[in-house]
This record gives sequence, structure tokens and C-alpha cells, in this order.
Amino acid sequence: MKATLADPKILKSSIDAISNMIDEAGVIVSQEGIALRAMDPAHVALVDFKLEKEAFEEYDVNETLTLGIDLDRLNTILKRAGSSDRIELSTSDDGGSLRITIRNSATRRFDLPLIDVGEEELRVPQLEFPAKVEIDPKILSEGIKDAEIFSDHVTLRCDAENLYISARGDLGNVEVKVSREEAVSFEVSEPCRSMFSIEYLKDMIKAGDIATTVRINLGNDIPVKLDFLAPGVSLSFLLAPRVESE
Amino acid sequence: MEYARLVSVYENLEATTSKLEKTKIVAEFLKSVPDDLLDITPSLLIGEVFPEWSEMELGVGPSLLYEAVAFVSGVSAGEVKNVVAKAGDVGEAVEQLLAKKVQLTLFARKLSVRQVYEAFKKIAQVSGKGSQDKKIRILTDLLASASPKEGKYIVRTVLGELRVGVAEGLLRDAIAQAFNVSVAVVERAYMVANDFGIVAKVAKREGEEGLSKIKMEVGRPIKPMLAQIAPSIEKVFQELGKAALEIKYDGARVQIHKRGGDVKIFSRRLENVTNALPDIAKRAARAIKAREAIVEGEAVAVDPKTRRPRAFQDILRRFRRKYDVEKMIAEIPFETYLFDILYLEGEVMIDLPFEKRREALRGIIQEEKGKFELAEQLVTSNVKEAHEFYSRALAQGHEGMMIKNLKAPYIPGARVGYMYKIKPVMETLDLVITGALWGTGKRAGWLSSYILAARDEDTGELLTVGRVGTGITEEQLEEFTRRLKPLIEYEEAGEVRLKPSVVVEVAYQEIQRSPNYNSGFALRFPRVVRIRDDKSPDEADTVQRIRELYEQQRAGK
Repeated sequence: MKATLADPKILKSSIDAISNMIDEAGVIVSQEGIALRAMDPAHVALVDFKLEKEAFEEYDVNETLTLGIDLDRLNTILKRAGSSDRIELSTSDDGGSLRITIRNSATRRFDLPLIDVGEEELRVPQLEFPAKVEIDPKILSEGIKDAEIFSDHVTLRCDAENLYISARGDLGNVEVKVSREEAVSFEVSEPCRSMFSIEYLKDMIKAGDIATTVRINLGNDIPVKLDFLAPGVSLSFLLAPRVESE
Repeated sequence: MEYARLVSVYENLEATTSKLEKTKIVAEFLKSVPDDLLDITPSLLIGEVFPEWSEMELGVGPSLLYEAVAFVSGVSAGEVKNVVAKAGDVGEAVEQLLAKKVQLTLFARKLSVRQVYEAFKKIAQVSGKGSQDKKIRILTDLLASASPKEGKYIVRTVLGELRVGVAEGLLRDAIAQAFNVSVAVVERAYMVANDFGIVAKVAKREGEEGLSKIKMEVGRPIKPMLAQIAPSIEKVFQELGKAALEIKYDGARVQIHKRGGDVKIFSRRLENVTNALPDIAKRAARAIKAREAIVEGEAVAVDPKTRRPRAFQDILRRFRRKYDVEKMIAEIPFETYLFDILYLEGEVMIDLPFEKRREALRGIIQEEKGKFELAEQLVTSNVKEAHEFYSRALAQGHEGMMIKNLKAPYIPGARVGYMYKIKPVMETLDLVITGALWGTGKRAGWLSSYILAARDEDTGELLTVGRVGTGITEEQLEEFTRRLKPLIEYEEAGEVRLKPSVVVEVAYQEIQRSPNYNSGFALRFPRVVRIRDDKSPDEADTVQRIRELYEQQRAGK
């Protein structure tokens, strides 16, 4: 296999968002592109990531491979690539490593040994979301940072007019309101609310800079699904809610 | 089968103290276990994951476990520790923490017994760099799917403290009851197979007939037969008339398994120590003139110059050695003295009388003097000769003398009156350290006083018999602290509770009755002799044995 990315940002940011939650995963390389689906060890978050072959400048894959990858290590390597570098992914000659070649004024070659990952197929829970709101990822990311001032969990809530990002703690509370008009797209069939861990959300919104829009799929005390939308890439996170203890 | 079903059995067992009741619960449960789980479930009932002969080990200490629990329950590892200290039991604490969990999971997966077992197996198989993190991940994954009650028993199993009051004897009786076979036949099959899974499976499918056909397998170690302390040479000869005398070497027991050119050596704890002892393995391959055999002997380290046996610690150093083995062989050369044979060319030998076994052993060993030979033996009915033999053994620097019943079979794992040992010093006890106290003053920062426990044969529980804080050198203090610290489950008022793991040999002046400890006994002036690395907590001395010694002591007064 050989796949070259002219712009490393998509891969860098996606892996940065994923690798803090999921240490290792089987990455499927096929003729369609590169895909990864994995759940964190605590069964709280699930990631579904696809990089279509169109996103690559050059994509030469004739078979389907599953590469067991230490995502943390991969993230460290990708961090070494600058925004103007080209990244080439291939397998090492003996097939035992993923080879990451970073090209700019020099050619830097990293070999990351492949690891053994279980081949458990993950089912994605089928959920009906009464609310689907698309906003600028920056609004979400700022809202979560605001919430973090007072709490380690945040409530996402929708009514017919607005999306609210709010948190309350012993020391105070905060509410961020995004109106129907401020949203890119706003479809809410019934009011809903769920509460989530900020720790997980903070990792997920690291993927914000690959997309101009994030779709928040929300319901009542069910997982939230965040879809980061950009051409050639699909990155979704599913996050289980917290119980509201009050 | 759902793991929840096993958990409800654990709960029922915990709810009763009656042995009869417990036996019935286990028997009823075993009847309902499907065939494909029957090899793993019996062990789980006594809180073990792998059979004793297996080399697999979980290797998960409290701190690793707490990290996984913290991750799943959404609190810090420090908070987990606090909850454990408050609850006074890791299992209870985890149950509470999981019940209060505010973070939901994406999937509710019902754990099956098989899944839990496979996760344990994966934990045992993880090795190399980053293995701690992997173990935490597997545990997290397991606990994420566990109900609070399931979590309680999962962590107890991981720490080797199931505490439902089922020990080997009870499990044996329950297997007999469940599958309508006699206890004696189950007992015997267990001795040979050393694996309750195999025994339960055969009992169910083939009954007594199948059980009696179970054979030893070369490569699967058998529990060693243990010696009783001789009240006196005279008394033993009164009982036996004629007996075989052997030197009691201060070495380490080895069980040597040979099949063709392949030799495996097992320690007393049934650990495979072949890699640490290539010298013995090589000699055994040469000297044992049989295609298939299991023989037993003592590996002794003798100082080549003085011909005196070396300290026991030196022997253990070699047993534990993983690298530079060749250098150690040169430094501490071993001599091997064989005294028994358990299996020969497809025949189980343990039912033969000792004299016949010894004869068979002699028949297949081509001795290499001073390296690999039969233990010196004297068969006599003369008490005077016995005293002379004993004096000579002691004069040569050996630990004492064995007096063996010539007509007796070999009973694996049992301490019966077929084999006596006599040595000049007061009998010591091997006890498990279950707790410790932080030192004060000069000993601040060290774990300086240790809580000692003996095993209750019936329930498998560890009961306290006292505390020891003297007879410990500064070096030992350091070693104890280093080894015990990772075993800390929780602390309360300067006292720590430990995962039972370290066994120590303890000398004492007297055994007393005592209401202060839950064993009902206390040791007067206990003193640590040494750490018994060759023993696991299941091999520690029992409360029943302490009672015996107490009664002997009273009778002697």
C-alpha cells in the first residue's frame, strides 16, 4: 500500500482527537480509503473515522489490510509533521510496521511496529435523535471551555428555538445559547437534554479544526453523536451520557 | 452461562457458614454447569483462575486494579483507596463505587463466565513493555460491563481473596456429591490430575470408572507429599518397626519430569524452574534411564571446598534466576539427591509401597556421584542406629533426618504419617503476611511490624495468629517494605492491609490460646526466620496444624 496526503492537517487533528481516548485500534486500509472504528476501554465513547481515497493526493491500495496501530505513538509521530509537509503512509518492506514518511526539505522516515489487536467487530448502536443541530465547531469548543470553569460535566439541551450548552457547579453556573439563526442548520422535533463528561468532549473537539461544521445529534438521556463534516473525511464520535445526580 | 449466575452462587456461599450447606450449593451448581465450562468453573469457585500446575498468573496488584476501578467508576485512584479503606474490603468497595457510577456506557453487555475467564487469561498472557497498561485496559473493559455485584467478585478473584469459604476439601466433596461418585475416588483423581476442572469433567461424563483411569501426565506437576514432624525417634520406630532413614537436606525440593530427551523441573510450588536449572535438567536427561518418568529429589547447594550445605537463600537465588544462569551455576553448583518416583513408563507408581518405589527408582538412575544420585538411605529397625544416622546427618551440616514408612504409598499434597521429619530446632510455622504497620521513630517510612495469618483448611480463609516485629535486620526491613508495598490494599490508622502473597517462616516460643485473634491462637515471642519464596499462601501452615501443635505442646508439659 501507499497513500500520500498533501495536507497533513486532517489526519493530524483526527488522530489527536482519537488517540487520547483510544490507545490502540485496528485501522482498515481498503480500496475505498482508510477507516477506523473503536471504543474506549470504559465503553463510554466510540469513534468512527473514514478518510476517503479522494482525500489523498495519491492512493495506491489493491487489497484490504487491518493494521493494528498504537494510536498514541502514531499521534506523537504525526505531531512532528508541519502544516506544509507531505505525509506518505506505507507498510515497511517486511510488512511488520506502518511506515510514515514526512517529506519537505528532507525526507524523514518513521517505522511504527504493528501490534496485535483483537478482531472484535463493533456494533454501532442505532439511535433516533430528535435534535440535529449543525454549528461552527468553534462555538461548541468555546462552550465546553466555558462549562469547564464550573464543572466536569456539561448539559446539552435543545428547544424549538435554541441550543444550550450549560454547566452548574458549587462555585457558579454558565449557559451558552446558540439560536436557530446562529446555527448552520437546525432541526428539532422535540425538546431534549442530556449530560456529558467534559473530559471526553474536550478530546473530541480537538477534531474541530478539520471541519467547518459539526453536527450535534442529541436526545433525552441517550448518547450524543458528533459528526465533523468535511470533504473526503467523515469523523463521528458517540458519547454515552452521565446520569444526572440531582 | 452468565457470570451473574456464578455471582449468585458466591453470594449464597457467603451467606452461610455451614459446610454441609456450602457443599450442597456447590454440588447443585456444578450439576448445572455445561460441559464446555466444567474445566474452568471449579477453580473459580475456590477463587483461583488457573489450575495449580499451570504457569499462568494474573500478576495484578492492588494499585493496578484501583486504576482500572477508578477509570470505570469515574473517580480518582485515591478516592478508590479511600472507599476501600472505609469499606474494609476491596470487593465491597468496588460494589459501592460501581453502584454510584454516574457515567453510563454505550452498550450493556451481559458478562458470561467464559468472557470473564478469557479476560483473565488475556491479563495473564500480556507480557513485555507496556504490559501494565494493557492489563489495566483489559480490566477496565471487563469492569465496564460488570454490574456492581459482578465487579465485587471479579476484583476479589483478581486479588486472590474470594472469601466465600470454599477450599479444596469442600470442592472435592461437592464434586463427589454432584456426580454421584465417592469422595475417595475424587480425592485420588485430584491428586493425580492436580486439576479440579479435569476431575469434574471426567466425574460427570465417565463417573468413578473414568476417574480411576486418570493418569499423571509428564509435564504437569503433582503436589508433593509432605512430612510430619516426628514426636521422637523412639515413638516413630514404635509405630513403624522398621523404617527407611534418609538425610533431610536443607535444599529445595524438585520434581523432575522426563519424556524422551525433554526434561522439565518443577519447584515445590509447582513452578516450572527448568530454565533456571539447566545443569540439573542436563544431568537428569543423562541419568534417568527411562523414556517417561517423574521423580522427586532435593536440589542441594554444597560448598565445593568445605562440603557443607549452603544457606537456603542461595538456593532460592538460583531458582529465581532468569539471566546469567551459567554464571550462577558456577557460583552455586547444585547436587541432586533423588528419593522417590511417582510415574514410570505409563505406570502410576504412587500406590506402590515406598520400598518398591525406591527399588524402581534405583533401577532407572545411573548415578553421577556428587552430582545426581539417590539420597543416602538406611533401612533399619534399630533405634540406636537411627540416632547415629541422625547425629551424622547433623554433623555434616544437614537439616535433620527423614524417617519413612516402607509400606506407605505416596499421597500427593498430604501431610500424613507416612513420612516423618526430625530436626533439632523447634518447629517453625510458615505463615502469610496479611497486614503490616508503618514503623515509627528510626523505622519511620518502613513497614516494620507484620500481621501473620494461618490458613483455615476448611474454608480457605486466612486467620490471624499474631504480629511479628522483632528478629528483623535492617536489610530485611528494606526487603519486606519493598515487597509488601505493592501489595497494599488499603491503610487505616497506620495499619495496612495486604494482598496475601508473602509467606514467612516464623519461630516462636509457644502457642497460646487467644481471644484476640480470629484464629483463636497466638504465638508467643514470634520471630521471622526467613521469607519462604518457595511457598505460596495456599501452602502456608493451617490453623488445624497450629491446634495440633498446641495440643502436642500441652501433652508434653
